[in-house]
Amino acid sequence: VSTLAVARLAWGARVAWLRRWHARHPESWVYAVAVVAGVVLLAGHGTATHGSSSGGMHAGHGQDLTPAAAAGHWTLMVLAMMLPMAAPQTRVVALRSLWVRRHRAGLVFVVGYVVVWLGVGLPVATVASAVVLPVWLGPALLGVAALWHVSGWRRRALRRCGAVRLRAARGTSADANCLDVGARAGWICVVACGPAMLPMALQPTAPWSLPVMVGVLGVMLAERAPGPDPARRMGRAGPAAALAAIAAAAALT
Amino acid sequence: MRMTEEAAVDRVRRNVAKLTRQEDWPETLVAYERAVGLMRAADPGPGRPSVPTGWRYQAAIHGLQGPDGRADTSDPLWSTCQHGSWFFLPWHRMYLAAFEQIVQHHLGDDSWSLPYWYSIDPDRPRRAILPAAFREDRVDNNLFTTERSRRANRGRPFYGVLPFEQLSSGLGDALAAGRYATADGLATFGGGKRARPAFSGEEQGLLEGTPHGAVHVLVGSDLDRSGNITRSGWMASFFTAALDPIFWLHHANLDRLWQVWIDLGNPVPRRQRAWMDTTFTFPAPEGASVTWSVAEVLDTGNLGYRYDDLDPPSGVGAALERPARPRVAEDEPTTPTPQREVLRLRRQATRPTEETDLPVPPRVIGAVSDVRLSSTVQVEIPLTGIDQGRTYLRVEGVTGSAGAATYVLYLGVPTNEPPTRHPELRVGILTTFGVLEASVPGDQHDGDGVTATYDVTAVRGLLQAEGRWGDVMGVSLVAGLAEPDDLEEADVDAPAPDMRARRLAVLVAAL
Repeated sequence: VSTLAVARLAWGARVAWLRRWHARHPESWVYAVAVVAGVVLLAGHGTATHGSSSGGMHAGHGQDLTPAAAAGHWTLMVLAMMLPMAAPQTRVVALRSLWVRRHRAGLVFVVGYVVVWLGVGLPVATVASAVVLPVWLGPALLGVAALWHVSGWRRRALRRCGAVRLRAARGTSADANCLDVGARAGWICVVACGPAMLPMALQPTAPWSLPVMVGVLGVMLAERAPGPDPARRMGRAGPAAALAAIAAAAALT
Repeated sequence: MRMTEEAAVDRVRRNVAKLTRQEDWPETLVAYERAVGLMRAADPGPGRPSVPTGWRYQAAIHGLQGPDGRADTSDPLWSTCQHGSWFFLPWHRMYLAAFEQIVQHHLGDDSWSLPYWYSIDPDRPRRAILPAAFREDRVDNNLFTTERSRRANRGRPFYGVLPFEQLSSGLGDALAAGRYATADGLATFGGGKRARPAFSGEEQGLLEGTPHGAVHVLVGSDLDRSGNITRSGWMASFFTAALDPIFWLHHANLDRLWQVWIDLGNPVPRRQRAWMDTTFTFPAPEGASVTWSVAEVLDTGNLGYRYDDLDPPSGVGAALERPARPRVAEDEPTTPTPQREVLRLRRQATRPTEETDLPVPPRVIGAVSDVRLSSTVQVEIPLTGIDQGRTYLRVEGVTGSAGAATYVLYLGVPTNEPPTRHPELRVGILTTFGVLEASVPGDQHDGDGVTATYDVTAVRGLLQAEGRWGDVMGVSLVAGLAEPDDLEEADVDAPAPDMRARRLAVLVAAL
């Protein structure tokens, strides 16, 4: 009996800890969605590159996917790569909204954020899918993104990434406010990270696409990671050099 | 130059009120006045400040307004002051230490120490007067400037007719806070935990509000009959504050109060590497620079100085059951903090903790948006759920270009009664120092305004006891007024107040 009681207590403690953790992290679902999108992307990428390897990879890229598939690929890429960037803001939006509607507020914020990324990227990805692009284009654009990385405009955009302006607390006006805050965050994020994402939007089935995706994600997460002197890490030479190295490696692929 | 070795503590920063008890011009102030003159002489004249050891360059480190009205960051050392975040106190400690080195360099005396101005001493309200040396209107007195409130320069209490007890209780609230910083939007001593240093980080700590902001804006501004600012002097703006010689003594006192808070047994977040290892750089004499991490300046002994008095105000010490050491008999009588205040502080005192994250985040149970600060109508916040726990009022995103120097916030004042008749329902003072700067997007922030949080648990308890805590919470804002004697004809037409809070929110936290 006592063993059962101890087990119950231990179980109760674990449940309480989980509840507290969940209360502290209303954004956890955002990471879960990103992971699922990443897994689907990986699986799909293997199929696409395998299928396209006989379709003339060295001639150029972009024509390997139908427009619909390219749109789906871009959507998955945004979910896998950009949701982790939006997760900290999602948490702030949720916790600063009325407690009873915290999850709804976080969801609406993410919708606004993703819609901007899709609005910008889908036309590019679908048009590119119908065009034959030179194989060197992606690495070259990534090199340009490395230069953009150290520009003052980009640094300013990155510094504003965390801004959350919540106003209305209830009703449709609160939803509209969260949508607006999400769209604004999405737009700032497009300015900061769009150039680094562009090569993969244009040439999703290039052999370098997947490693570049992982590398770019790593750079973006690293410069946002908590730690000392973030202002000196963000948009400085280190991440830009890492992007340039990724671009060089992609060019050699 | 990076500080790596522990320097010996060889200097003492002293209370300017004690230094000037016998004479208006003690040796320390004579030397300071001379150094200010030498630093002004080192300035190259109008235009960009280009001499790092000059007065205007030193002030530009705190803030300089560019031609577009935003913070000028064309020199990487300019406009680097930290406000509205947990970097506020360490950055200003470093700024003062570097400034002290430059003054010593100009004087050729490395034993000189910056005095401090304990402007809101709850035990000695009569010290809320600008020291005489700073008021002496002579052309050759570098400590005097007309760029201050006339009230302060006339030797009157700088706070006008704002009840002193409102200011002293603000200091008491700050010293009674048990937490240095949190990302959860609660009232803390040092300011919001933020990922990035920022010129205006949006989340003020309690000390940054009162006494810091209150003294800045009250010493720096003339007010009209409604309490609105008619003329802003140097102290009233980030961009000009450090041009006023009293700025440095004011901040030395804030630096001292940080040490007082630590000595009360409150820990700083030493496990937060993002705070401890962040570095800031300042110019040093002879073309050098000095870089410190936050960890390196936590002990003032490492910077070579200590303070002559680290006793808390008597009421705070008693409330936290840490009575002050017996004081040396002084000729100035003390005014002990009222017992009611002591009891209130005792209730407010939270368990000291180094943690910056709460086990469970606070819950927002009510909010209203777009609140005009000058409104005389009570703001009603509908509440969802009557959760128990410590209760906070957050004034979020205050922006605007004109308004009062201070707003006193009250909770649950009965309809048709003036809030000032209910001091027991007062929850704090909102100071508007930095609002203008925080309203304009800049390199380091997005113009999101100033945010301040107040612990309203005690007032909530009072209202609950009277059966007046319900589904709606009423918040009243009252502008701090000027003293009628200080009003002049020119003061009558203040710009129309336009300051607004993006949102007022009520939070409940289980601490």
